[in-house]
Amino acid sequence: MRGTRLHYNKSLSHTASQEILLNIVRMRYGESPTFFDLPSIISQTEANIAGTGAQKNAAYGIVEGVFSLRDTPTLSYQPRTGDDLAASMLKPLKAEAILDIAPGNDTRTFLLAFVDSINGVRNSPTATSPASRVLEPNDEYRQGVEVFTELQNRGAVITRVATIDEKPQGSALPAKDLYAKDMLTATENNYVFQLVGDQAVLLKRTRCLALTIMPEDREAADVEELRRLFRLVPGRAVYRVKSQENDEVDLDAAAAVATVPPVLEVVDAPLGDRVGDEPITATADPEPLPAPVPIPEDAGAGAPSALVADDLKDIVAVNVRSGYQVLAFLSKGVEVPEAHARQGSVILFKGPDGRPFDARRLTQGLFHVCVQKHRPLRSDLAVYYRGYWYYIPEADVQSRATLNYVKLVLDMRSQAGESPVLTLPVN
Amino acid sequence: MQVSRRSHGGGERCTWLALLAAAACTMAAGCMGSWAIRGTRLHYNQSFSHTSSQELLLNLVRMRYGEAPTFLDLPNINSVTEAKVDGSGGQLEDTLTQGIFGGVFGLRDEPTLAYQPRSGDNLAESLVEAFKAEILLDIPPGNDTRTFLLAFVDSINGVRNCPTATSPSSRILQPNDDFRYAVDLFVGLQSRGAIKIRVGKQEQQAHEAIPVDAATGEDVVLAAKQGFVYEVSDDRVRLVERRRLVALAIQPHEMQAADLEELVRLFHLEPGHPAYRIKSQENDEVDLGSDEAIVGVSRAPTNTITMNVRSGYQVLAFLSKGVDVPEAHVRRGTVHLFKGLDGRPFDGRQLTKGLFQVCVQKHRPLHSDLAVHYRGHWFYIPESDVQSRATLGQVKLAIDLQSEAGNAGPVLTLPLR
Repeated sequence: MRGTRLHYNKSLSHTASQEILLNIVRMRYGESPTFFDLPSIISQTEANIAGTGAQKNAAYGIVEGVFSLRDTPTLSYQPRTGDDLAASMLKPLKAEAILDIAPGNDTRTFLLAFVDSINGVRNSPTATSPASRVLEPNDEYRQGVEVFTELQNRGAVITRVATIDEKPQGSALPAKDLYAKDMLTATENNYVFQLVGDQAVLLKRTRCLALTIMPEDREAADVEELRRLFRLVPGRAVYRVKSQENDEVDLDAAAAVATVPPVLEVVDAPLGDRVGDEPITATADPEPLPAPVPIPEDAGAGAPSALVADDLKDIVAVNVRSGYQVLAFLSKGVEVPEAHARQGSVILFKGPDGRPFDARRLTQGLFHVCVQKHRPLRSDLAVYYRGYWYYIPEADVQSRATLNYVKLVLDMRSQAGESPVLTLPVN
Repeated sequence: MQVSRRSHGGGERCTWLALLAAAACTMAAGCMGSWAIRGTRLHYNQSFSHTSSQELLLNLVRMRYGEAPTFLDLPNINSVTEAKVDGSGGQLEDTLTQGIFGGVFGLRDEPTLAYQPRSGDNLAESLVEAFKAEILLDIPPGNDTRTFLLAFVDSINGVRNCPTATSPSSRILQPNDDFRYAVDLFVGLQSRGAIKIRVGKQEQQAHEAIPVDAATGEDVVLAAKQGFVYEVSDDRVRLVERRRLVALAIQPHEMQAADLEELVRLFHLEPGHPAYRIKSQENDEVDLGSDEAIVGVSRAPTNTITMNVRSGYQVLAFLSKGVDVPEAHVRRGTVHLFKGLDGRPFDGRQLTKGLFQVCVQKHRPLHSDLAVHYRGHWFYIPESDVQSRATLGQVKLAIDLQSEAGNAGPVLTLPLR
């Protein structure tokens, strides 16, 4: 085990990184990604030594022997298909994933690579299709992410867990018809009855993600800048963070009207209020949040906030990408050889104005893959494709970190290792 | 062979050499498995990806010739590599100052490829079951959406993408210019952010109304838990289902845009809506008790985008219209030539123009790595045709997603030596 375990670990990690890199390069050429999982490695090693020894005379002793060594690894490869492929590649992550992401560079990587838009500020959505020809710059979005990361680094903004009582479940009932056990049933199922006069309306109690701003930083220039960039209502201390798929369009709404602001209530710290793994302390708590107020019955009847993109919002609507979209986006950071560009075997991009667009600026400072004809000397992460070597230079730590981060996220969503694939009757 | 236990001279050196060599071999043998991963994984990946693309291309060409597609899945590859060292060490008895060390080594690579013809439920799921319109939510905007709409969608609100082209042996085709024009408008609007595919919600009555006294607080909770709500009006309470749907949302400041109005006109939509529901045609049921059952389907403007989405088989058959065929085959009648509705010759390739095209020639193409040999000719996608390659890749991915080939559990029992 001492002789094999770490070697297998290194090889598995290295080839998995190479596979992701190869898929990203493939997508730059308009191909679809292929994943080849290795859910099982059976390592069989055998060492035999047989010998004899004798004393021929007083001066000389004699030993003789033969030895035999055998290493027979069995690698069970499994192409990723079906539900496993869908889970790892097509289902988008939720905005709530931000809670599990370490602040600092990981959050920056997540926001730049995994998020398509925040409150309508776009991170070049068409770049998430492998064969798109028209791309748009993402400068405003990148600036917003840089400001956010900076604020997070100095502790001015933190992501926390909150609860919200929202979405009235049908019409109000006369309060006199309610029994105590109804409240118990409601609470057990994450609902709550709210009394408005002599009427009771059932509300859905949801745990959600909230972005909180520390009181001393509420007026800071960079906080104002963040609000301006992401079109947030000024002055608030807490903004709800919501995946766009949970920000539903109300098809019954006849006309677009502003949505009613949700009411946030901070959950007790033991329930998981945290920043990374840090427990919330009294000093980390911002000023008291507004008390819950009744939500009108027609709260859900308004048009979705994204329909009024130019208006200011009290929620941070995050549209998160799928694994496929993340790889396609990162593929814009792959350099291509001139010969391929001349042959037309790779797409050259245009901006919305029809002028040439250098797609590498979309992933600048996040991910960059170099190319050359000969095998690079100073890189351990290189793949050979269409006659050229694509590689991440040894000095480019950020690109390597981004690649590994994406690998980790895709691996977490894959079920490749869950099913037995091999029965070995060993002789 | 014998080894001296002498504590000096060449014999000792020889012993150490032998031990060193043995240790080196042991280390080398122990590392074999990890080197096998490095040496095989990416090669298998590349070969698998390449042969999957070739298989799909071959199936497309087959369908152009009226044949049925065949898929041979490779759910599992067991790669057995072996490094073996047999050796001996010692010293010749008659020359005690000279040690000898000898041996043989062997390397063996024995991959076992477990092919599995796709059949039964797996074939049905990947090829025959139609995709759902809801898949639009998972498709990136831009070129992928364009590819999906042109290749996977048969009609949108009655605007047809040449449905007869989805049969491998159809002879009569009709142009899909209106559909292509509408798709180009749609993708243009989507690319600049004027429209967006989103999740929507809608309420629909699930049951006739009952007296309001019949509903208790517990009933309201249980209904909410299962996606229903009670709505009270005039001392009556009715059960309403809350459904999550796919919707096309329009940015308010784009409501008057000329290209949006054109799209609304083409798809027979009611103008002025901030959002339209998108649904699969299989969910658009005919009410047998309504006027529609008697007078036929209405062409009046609607607030719903009804998509008839194709199955994998239909997608392949449609794309096969983009396959060039050699003149010799046409002369022999090996392959269909198409006619339009007016009976005049119809070039099937115009249906997939700008989306997918397969070239043909007698000799193996020099500048293409995606080529298959079929009926004496080479069918290939030129290296410079990125769009056709991307379309093939997207279809491959979509069919793979529907396939359960990799979830087959244990597929092989290997008697190892």
